[in-house]
Amino acid sequence: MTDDSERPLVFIVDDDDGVRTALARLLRASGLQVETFESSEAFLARELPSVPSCLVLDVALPGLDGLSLQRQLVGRGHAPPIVFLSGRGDIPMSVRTMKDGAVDFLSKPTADDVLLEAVRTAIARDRAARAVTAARAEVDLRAATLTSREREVMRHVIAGKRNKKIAVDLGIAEKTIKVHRGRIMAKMRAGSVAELVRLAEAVGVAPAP
Amino acid sequence: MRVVASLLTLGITAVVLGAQTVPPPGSKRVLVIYADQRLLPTNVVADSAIQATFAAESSFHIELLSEFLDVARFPGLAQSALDRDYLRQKYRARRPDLIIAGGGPVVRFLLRNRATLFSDVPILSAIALDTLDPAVRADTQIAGPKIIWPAGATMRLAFRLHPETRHVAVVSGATERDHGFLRSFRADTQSLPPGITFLWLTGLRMSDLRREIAQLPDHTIVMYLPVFGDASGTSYTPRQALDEFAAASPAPIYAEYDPMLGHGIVGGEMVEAAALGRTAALIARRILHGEAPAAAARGEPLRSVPTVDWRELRRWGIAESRLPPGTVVRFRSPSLWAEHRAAIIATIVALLLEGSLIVALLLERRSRNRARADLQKSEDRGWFAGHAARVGVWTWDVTPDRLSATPESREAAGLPVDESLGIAALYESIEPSDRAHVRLAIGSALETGRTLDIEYRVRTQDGGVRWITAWGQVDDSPDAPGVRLTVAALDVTARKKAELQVEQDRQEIARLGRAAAAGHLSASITHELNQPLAAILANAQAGQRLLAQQPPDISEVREILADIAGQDERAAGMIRRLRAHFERGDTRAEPIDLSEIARRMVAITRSEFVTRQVSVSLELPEALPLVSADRVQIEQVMLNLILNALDAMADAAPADRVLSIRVAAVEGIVRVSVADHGAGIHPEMRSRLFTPFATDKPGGMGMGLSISRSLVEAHGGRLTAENNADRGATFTFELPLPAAT
Repeated sequence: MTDDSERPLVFIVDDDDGVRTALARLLRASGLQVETFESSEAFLARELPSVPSCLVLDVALPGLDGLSLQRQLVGRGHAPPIVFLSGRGDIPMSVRTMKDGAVDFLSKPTADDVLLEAVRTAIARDRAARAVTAARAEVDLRAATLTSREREVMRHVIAGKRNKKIAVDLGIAEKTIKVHRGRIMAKMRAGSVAELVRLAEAVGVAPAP
Repeated sequence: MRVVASLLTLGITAVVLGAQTVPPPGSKRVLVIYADQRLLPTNVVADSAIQATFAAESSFHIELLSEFLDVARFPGLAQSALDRDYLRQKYRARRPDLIIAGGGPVVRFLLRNRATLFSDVPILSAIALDTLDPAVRADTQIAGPKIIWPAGATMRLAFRLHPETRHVAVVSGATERDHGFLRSFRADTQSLPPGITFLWLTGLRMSDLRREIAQLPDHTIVMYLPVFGDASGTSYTPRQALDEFAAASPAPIYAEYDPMLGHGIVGGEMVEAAALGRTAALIARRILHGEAPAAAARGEPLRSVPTVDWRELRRWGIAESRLPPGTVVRFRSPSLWAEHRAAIIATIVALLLEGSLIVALLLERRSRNRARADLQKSEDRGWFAGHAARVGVWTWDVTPDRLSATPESREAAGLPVDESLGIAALYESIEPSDRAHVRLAIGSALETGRTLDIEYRVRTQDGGVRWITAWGQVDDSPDAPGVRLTVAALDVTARKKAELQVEQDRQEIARLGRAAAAGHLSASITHELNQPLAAILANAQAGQRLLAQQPPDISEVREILADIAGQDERAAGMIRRLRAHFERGDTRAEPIDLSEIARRMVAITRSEFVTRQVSVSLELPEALPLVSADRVQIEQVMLNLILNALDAMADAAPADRVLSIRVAAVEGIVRVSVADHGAGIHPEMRSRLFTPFATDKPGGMGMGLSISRSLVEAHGGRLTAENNADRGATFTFELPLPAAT
């Protein structure tokens, strides 16, 4: 058993008490952590968790409906992947939600294996997204330790220039460039220029012209 | 001042009398003192909200005690002193940690006796701060959250919903408690809008109140202040009193207390009793945790909201658009009309179209008859009236077989060009499928001497089709050289096309209307039903998983089973309501002819017969005794049986697709049988055939037969089904004939 801080968390938003309770039971019985909400607004008030998570979302909700909640979450930039559950899904609606990034659009009542499969896919997707974000955050941290001069030099290095050329372009001694280059590689923990190029790209540093 | 609020005796003002040190966590004791009796609905609701909120407290156990002063029945200062002594004795050894004062009378009682009764126990009062005496309000130890409950809001709501109001009848009781409410109402309602007058129905006997209420003039609204007792000395809870007279009222009733909703009031500006109880209990918990009462009582104010009973809105014809924004509408149950307006309108449009088509056809037929009569008149002159127009005229001499006509006539009548041909050439030019009936009609005209009146299609040289209507007469007078048929033929292709188009449009609209109604209805029902079904399925599957675990969590499984039962009951309730939808409505019995209804329903579904290639065999006696029944409902049954029969034959070979409808009167009943040549009723379906939601049709709802049977049985008849000896099934319904007089 993993401890709770690592167990994936499933959010259920459904205004129907009976459905909400039953879904929560089913997912808990399958080893997932579950939190339930009776409205989109209640869900929006909750901070996003640090563990992989996904959202099982009813379409017809009082107040902010499921589709609007999806749009709001997409607009915020980071949202748990969504599995829609609808009592009255139509094809255009499901197409729209899938275009907006929903993992699946299921109709009620849903067989447990179908629902669990969708939930697992959603969690896997969130886990992958988190890994990307975490990796990026790590590189961001490294890049933040660069001095502005080093950053400038890095832009030339990743443009594929030799030290001599960089020295001319920046009007500094070639020896100094060499020192900078060494520090950059160390701070960015890059084993090669190729790796440095990839890392710089990840944090949005563009090569010098 | 708003003594009114003291009915909801859970106001929320913390009155702190003396410093209270907080004991370490353990058991806490809270005494709730209510102003009125135990069974007052407000008290019951509030009390259970308090209990529930206390039950959620996890740090310590809360022992809840309650007392009921019942000031309506036990008024007066002497009684108050007895109450004080009684409570002092009773609670000497069980001192409460906190008192919740349920209502203005209780707050006043406690403050009056604070020196000798519960002298150092904090008191959480139940009425809004501003309803207390100025002296109490000045007391710095009083703190409390706000209750925003604007005075007069209920009256304003009533005026808004009934803009034509001319009188306000105020109903109040005869006890001192009632007078308190009446005084407060008067204080809140100094004046009425111009043109509106008060009618006072206060301090009466219940029987007199009922009589007065029944005679209220038009454009009156009733303001119901609570009645705790009438002039004869009978005690009531306000809701019991309401039940005594509400039914007699020809005017809408308004009141401010939510337990009265559902008892004949339209609504009012209300604070939920349960919310009051909950709020009071939450503050109490914080005080018990050691928080200063003033701080504990701070928080979101409780706001009153306009609250109305949906059924009463309907009863008084109040459009929901007139409700103030944020109004809470309770007991909503949407009507068929509200839910399916589009489908109903489509159906009405289809019916209107059908009606106008019939009128158009009648007019057209009349003018044709008239034209025919005209032709007859001119016949003596040996020629035809349409000669000059675009009527083609030709003659056929039977022996020798010879067709003759002018070239223009040939053109107009769609005859072959070659003049030397005989009748065979005419037949040749006619569409093969029409040839037989033209040949038959001509043969019969020659044989009987009757006029010929036929319509047929001819194929033109460019491959198109023209519709020809032909009218002719046999001339076999003795002076004629031989038997000769003279025919006037008219090209009616344009008219025919228009007719067909109209018919197609009509069928399409009718079909769409039916499909929309059925589709819409089943979609909304499916959605509703899917909720409990989803809950049941997920519960059951969760249960299976739990049972597979070691050790299984039996108590959770028990809860799951209880929930499944509950959700099942919920689904059953929906089905009941759905049936009520279909079956409700005023059954209006009228004499109806079942033959005529069968004929009409077949006509309505004609397009279905055509598209599904089903032929129909009707045995509908003309002089059928009439049964007394609701036409619309019986039409619904008939239509349902016909459509079912069509569905049943979807997979049959086209040659087998015959639907037979037979109507017959036998021994005091009229029996209608609808027989199909489909697969018959599957043995598994047999027993469930008439139960709701039993269906073996893809996309079927399984409601048709169940509702049909209810409708027939409501007319004292019965609906049965059996398989035919050869193939298919026959559904039979019988309706009783009115007893012979």
